[in-house]
Amino acid sequence: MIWNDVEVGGLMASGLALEDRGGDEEGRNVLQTLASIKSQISSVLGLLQTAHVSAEGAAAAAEMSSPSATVATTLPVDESEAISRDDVKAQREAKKAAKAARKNKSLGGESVTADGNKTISTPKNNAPKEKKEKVSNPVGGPKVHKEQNLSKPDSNKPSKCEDKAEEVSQEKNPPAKPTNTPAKIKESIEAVPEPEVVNAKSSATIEPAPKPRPTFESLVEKVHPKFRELGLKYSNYILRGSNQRTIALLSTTKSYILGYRTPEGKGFKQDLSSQLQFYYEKLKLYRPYAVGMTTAVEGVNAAIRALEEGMSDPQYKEELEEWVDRFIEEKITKAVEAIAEKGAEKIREGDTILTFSLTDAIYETFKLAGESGTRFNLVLAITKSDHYLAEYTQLKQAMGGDVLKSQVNISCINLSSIMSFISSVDKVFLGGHALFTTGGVMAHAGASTVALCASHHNIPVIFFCETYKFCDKSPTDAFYSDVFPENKFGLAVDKEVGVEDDEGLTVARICYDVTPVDLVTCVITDIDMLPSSSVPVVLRVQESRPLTKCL
Amino acid sequence: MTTTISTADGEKVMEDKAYIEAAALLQILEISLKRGEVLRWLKNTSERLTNAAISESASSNMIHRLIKIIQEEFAAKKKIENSASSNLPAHAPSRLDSTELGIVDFTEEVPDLRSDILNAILDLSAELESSGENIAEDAEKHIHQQDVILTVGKSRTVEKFLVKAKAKKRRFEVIVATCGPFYTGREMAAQLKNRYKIPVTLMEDTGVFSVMSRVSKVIIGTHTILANGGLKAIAGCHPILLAAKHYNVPVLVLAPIYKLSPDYPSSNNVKIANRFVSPENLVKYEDLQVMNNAHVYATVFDYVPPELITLFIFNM
Repeated sequence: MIWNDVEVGGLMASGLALEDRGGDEEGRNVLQTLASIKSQISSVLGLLQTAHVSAEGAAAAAEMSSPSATVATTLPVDESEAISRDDVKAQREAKKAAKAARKNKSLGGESVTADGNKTISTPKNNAPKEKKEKVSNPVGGPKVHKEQNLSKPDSNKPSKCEDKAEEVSQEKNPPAKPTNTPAKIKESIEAVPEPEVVNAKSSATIEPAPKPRPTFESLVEKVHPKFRELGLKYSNYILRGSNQRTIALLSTTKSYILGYRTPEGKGFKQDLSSQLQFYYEKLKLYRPYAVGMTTAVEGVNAAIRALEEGMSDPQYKEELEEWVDRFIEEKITKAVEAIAEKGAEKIREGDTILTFSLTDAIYETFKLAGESGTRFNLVLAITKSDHYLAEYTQLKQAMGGDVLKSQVNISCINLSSIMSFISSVDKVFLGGHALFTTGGVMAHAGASTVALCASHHNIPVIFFCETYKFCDKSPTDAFYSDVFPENKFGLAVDKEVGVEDDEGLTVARICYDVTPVDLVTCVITDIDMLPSSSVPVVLRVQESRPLTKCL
Repeated sequence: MTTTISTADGEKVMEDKAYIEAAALLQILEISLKRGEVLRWLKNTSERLTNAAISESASSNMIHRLIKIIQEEFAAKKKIENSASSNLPAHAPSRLDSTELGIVDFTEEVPDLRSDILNAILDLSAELESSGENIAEDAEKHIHQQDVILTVGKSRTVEKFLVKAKAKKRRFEVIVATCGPFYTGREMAAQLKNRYKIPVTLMEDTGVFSVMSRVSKVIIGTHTILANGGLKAIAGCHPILLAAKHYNVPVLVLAPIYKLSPDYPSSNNVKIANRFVSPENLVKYEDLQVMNNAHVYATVFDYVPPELITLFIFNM
């Protein structure tokens, strides 16, 4: 996401100045400066808009966009590099111009395919398409298509284009007849309140639209930069995996608390907890919470509530810091080690292990197995997403390249082909994202398929799940959808549901699914190896021993 | 005669080959040959075709049918000739069994056999051409209002079926599950949506288990139907049909008759074996430099046992 990289760059610059001080007031100052920068940019962009209405302007802006695009991709997320405000401004300008250029192209972009069907090259309003950075270019140049459009007033469907780019008034087309397809698509996009996706490029930053929708920026305006940075790392998939995300959340909370200064006339506990609540809510806009993160958040709130009255601020901070450290240590780090110990026992010499939905615990298990010298075969099930490379590299890192090479025989197969290979598999290791009271295990989409196929051949299916991921909810079927309203399938999606593709297809991207309890042999947790139906017991036991005092 | 494109979508190629076969046979039979030679030549051709493309069995299926037709016609003619006073009715080729045929000497001359065989070949060709439409005739019986139909990959038979149901004013939705290694489901979904305006959702096969509880029927095509009633379908079908069984969703398999194969699925049978293709759609070549220790496999076919299938719909 180009936009977010720029944001990150800008926030880095401001964050540096605030690192040692923290607190609300500095944060507000920073945000004010950012707002002033934004207003300056929007005025500049207004001028740019009028200059770049023609298609030639689009070409020129495309040239401008390429160096800025490369700059954007190389923008460091590392905190140690400082970027000057002027650079940030220039990059923002260039990007807005590029975006306008792309809009121009796509507005004139009704390509006529060979068999006479019109396809819509939709405006690049959606972040996932931004990520792909692919523009489905019209068959002719933009100019040619404008002429075509003008001459065929009855056949175009730019209804969406019109709404979202009213300020670009070059298109004189009459409003489109409401055909089924674009209207439905529009509905499905509008029905899903995804302010970050739909409105990230909305007109509010270019020129005020008649009916301003809440933009993503307006929603996260008041959020502390540390949390915004965290959110951007989530939404750009820099932080991935439940453990990593939870640890990052808690670290950010800790550093915020350490830099927190109680405002005048307010109590430490009330104000801190209300501020944190606000930030936690806004963080969900970047990416829905992992289930483990919810547990961590509840723990933080409980810890704050349990603080004794009458202590001084530094003492409070010390207690909270200690609590966070202990949570991370006991619930995450040590838990992963405990799970790995039990899991490594399950790997015998010469075993063939099928694995999918890899998590920290599984990497650690394989690492331990490698250290103990066991030679085994690993079948890694892969889907079409790009995660396989990250999974393989993480596996290599965890185990060590030599160990991996000498002791493990890795095959990668497509998830579709598992039935051809399943008969040679001894065990199935799956990483769990969450465990529910019904005994269902939530994992990456496809894990339930693996579990089903394995149980069909009577192969044990073992899930790896830390106890902090145990959840009180009980979904009765294979969905668990928290944040996004469901479309008709009620899909459990992370970011995108029913996203329109370049060809106008409705593509359902399902990120997680729930494996029913009868397909799961057992779950390895930090407490013990449990059947997956033991979640209510564990939660009850944990309730009687509150998180704040003893873990 | 050798197949060049051997994909899961190979049915098209095989259809053409079968046409070519039929046309070639027609030409050859224009020249007078003794019947025995024709049969021997047909058997040789069948062997050659099978060796050329092991996993494509449509052409050898057709040739076997043709051989059977020739034998039946021959024996029927002979019976009419020889047993004018027999109790059997004049035209009873359906009552011939293998023992009767076994004693028939095919080198005898029989008049008018050639024209009968040519007619039979023309019938076969007509059946080939109209197989899609014939299968689709039953569409409105099986697809009801508000149905959610799940289909896997790209199949022209299924497409015609769904289109026919739409033409009969059924309102239904389709979920297309796309499977590796070719991910042809996307074309199917695009075609259904853009050309036929059927509401369609595309998803990868990983998500099928999640939505299976909301699906009313699964309708798939297949590559081959094996002798035990099992399928040789595209990779990914078996897990999806397992999920359908788990949720008790009926599974319809649409197939023209030329996909029926006399092969049993056994480990010795090379003809029903799987094929490995390049996994380039799955893993990029550049990434293999990093994953230098891993072997990546991509198979094309999946064996589906017969108990997962509710109903076969043929073109007869």
